[in-house]
Amino acid sequence: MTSGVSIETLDHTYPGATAPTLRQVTLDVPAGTRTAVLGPSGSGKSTLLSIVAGLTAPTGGDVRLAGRSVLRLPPHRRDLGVVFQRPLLFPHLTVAENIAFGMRMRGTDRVVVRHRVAELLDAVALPGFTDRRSTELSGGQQQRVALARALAARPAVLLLDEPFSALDPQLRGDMRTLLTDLHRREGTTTLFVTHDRDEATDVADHVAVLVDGDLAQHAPPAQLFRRPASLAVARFLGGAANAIAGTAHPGRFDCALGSLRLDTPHRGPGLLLVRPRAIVVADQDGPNVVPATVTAVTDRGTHLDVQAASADVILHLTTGPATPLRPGDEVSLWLPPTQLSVVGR
Amino acid sequence: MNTRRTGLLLILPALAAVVLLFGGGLGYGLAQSLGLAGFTDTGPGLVAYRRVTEGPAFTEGLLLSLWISLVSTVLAVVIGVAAALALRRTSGGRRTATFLAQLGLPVPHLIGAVAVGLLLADSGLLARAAHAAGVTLPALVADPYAVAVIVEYVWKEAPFVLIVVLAALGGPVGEHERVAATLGARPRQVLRHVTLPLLAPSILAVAVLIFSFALGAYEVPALLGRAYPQPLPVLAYQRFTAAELSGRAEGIAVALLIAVIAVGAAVAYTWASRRAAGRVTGALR
Repeated sequence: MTSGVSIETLDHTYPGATAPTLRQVTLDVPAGTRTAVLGPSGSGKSTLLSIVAGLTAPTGGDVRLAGRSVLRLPPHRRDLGVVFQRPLLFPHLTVAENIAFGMRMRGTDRVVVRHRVAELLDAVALPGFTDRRSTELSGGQQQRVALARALAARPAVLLLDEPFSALDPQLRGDMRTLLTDLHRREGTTTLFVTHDRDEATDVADHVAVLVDGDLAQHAPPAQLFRRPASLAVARFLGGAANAIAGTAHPGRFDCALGSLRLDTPHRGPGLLLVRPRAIVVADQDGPNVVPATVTAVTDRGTHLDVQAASADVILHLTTGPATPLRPGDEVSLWLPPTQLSVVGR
Repeated sequence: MNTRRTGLLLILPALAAVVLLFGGGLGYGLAQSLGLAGFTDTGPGLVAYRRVTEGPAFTEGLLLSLWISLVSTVLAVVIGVAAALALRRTSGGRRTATFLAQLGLPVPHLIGAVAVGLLLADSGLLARAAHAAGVTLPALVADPYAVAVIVEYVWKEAPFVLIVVLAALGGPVGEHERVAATLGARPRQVLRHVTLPLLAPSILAVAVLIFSFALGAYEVPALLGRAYPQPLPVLAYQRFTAAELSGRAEGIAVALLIAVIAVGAAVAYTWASRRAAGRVTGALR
């Protein structure tokens, strides 16, 4: 049976370290869902996973699986499947023996094991690889076997620690699709650690952004991009190209560009964030339309990166290649209210 | 092809030295044992081999040699592996163990043999202490089971095994063990199904080294062993330095027979490690 994971006010400081690696991290992953823990390297995301797996003991807080605290349980009694960055297949065993390992250790009936191994080899698109040695497989194939091995004993929770970062980009895309398919089949609660925001949004239904040991935001991918909770989250997600200082009031944001309409729960001084792709070159005047002068254009082939000055504010925007803008052009820029968000300074 | 030839040229000096020193020595020894060279009073042939192998001294010496080598190897491996597994968790224990083990490594076997003799002989420290406590110990030096010889080999070789196994444990073994634990393997199952199979190549290699060494070493059984039966190396030396002229050929014949057994062990090892080649390369990558 798959079960939910609750991480409660988790603290961790490594022995000898001055700063904590994790600070009061609280995260709820309901049964059957997929959460990606996204963060730059050194943000503490791998430590978080290691604590859930039972490989690291936290300095404070609690981890619950299916509502039961597991902190005192060693890894082998937590009913998990873990996939690490490297496949770490057992080199002395065949592919089938690797996949069967967890079931063998639990004393599962041989016929059941054989059936399950065949089923999973099909699921990871490696039928006929039963008797191969792990050393004969490519990196991608090895990681597929590692996935099958982690899922074989139907664990309550699947943990993945940057499982695809050692593979080449093309293969990484295939692996994401495979992981999504496997989740659809098996329905295992999944906690996925990555530093790649595309991977996180592709694979997970919720993304938890970890910055410097703090859980900065936990939200569905779309909301994460549209409504980042802080400047740090926006920066990490690449959404801080336009950060304009001003003051938020109910329904509007006052700044150098004027009084812009938007919907934000934020009040008082803050930064207005708008993604370059969200800014529209308008052909008529209206609310949230600001006049600007194009100062620089870079042709990227697929799109244009444009800089435009408006009331001493430099706005960065991206337009399609069919919008011919040249430096010096006077333009009207529409900042769509739904695409604007405000974070604290 | 070209790079292959360059490689061959590059190792040629080393190869020449090995062939000349090793092959030359062995070849000259073989010639002497066959009565083809050196001082001899017999004609060419297998006379020397027939002479040394015909009595019970050779058979009993061979059995004693195999007994000493096998028991020493097994004990050293068991103790060394167990110590490595017990000590690796604590960094302090690991450092201390490595230091102590390295301290013992440069001590020559001859010194070790003398020390063991002083400790275990009938008049040694242990016997005196036991006597003071009212216990009479059986003979441990120059006894039928070569206890003192085996003790000396184990004392010297177990730390060697410890260092080799600790080094092997520093590799990816720990990561594989963690994976096994997350897959639900209990510590005992991890040891049996992951740790020991992954250490097997290193353990096998060090075991062959110890076995071949113990089989061919002379000084320890010469000091701590009995006058009869003599293990093969002692027999070889004793024949080689005998008064009669034929002794020389016979001594070399025994030495060459020891070499044949050692080479046999090495061949068996190569075969076993080839069989496990996939596992070996995988484990050491």
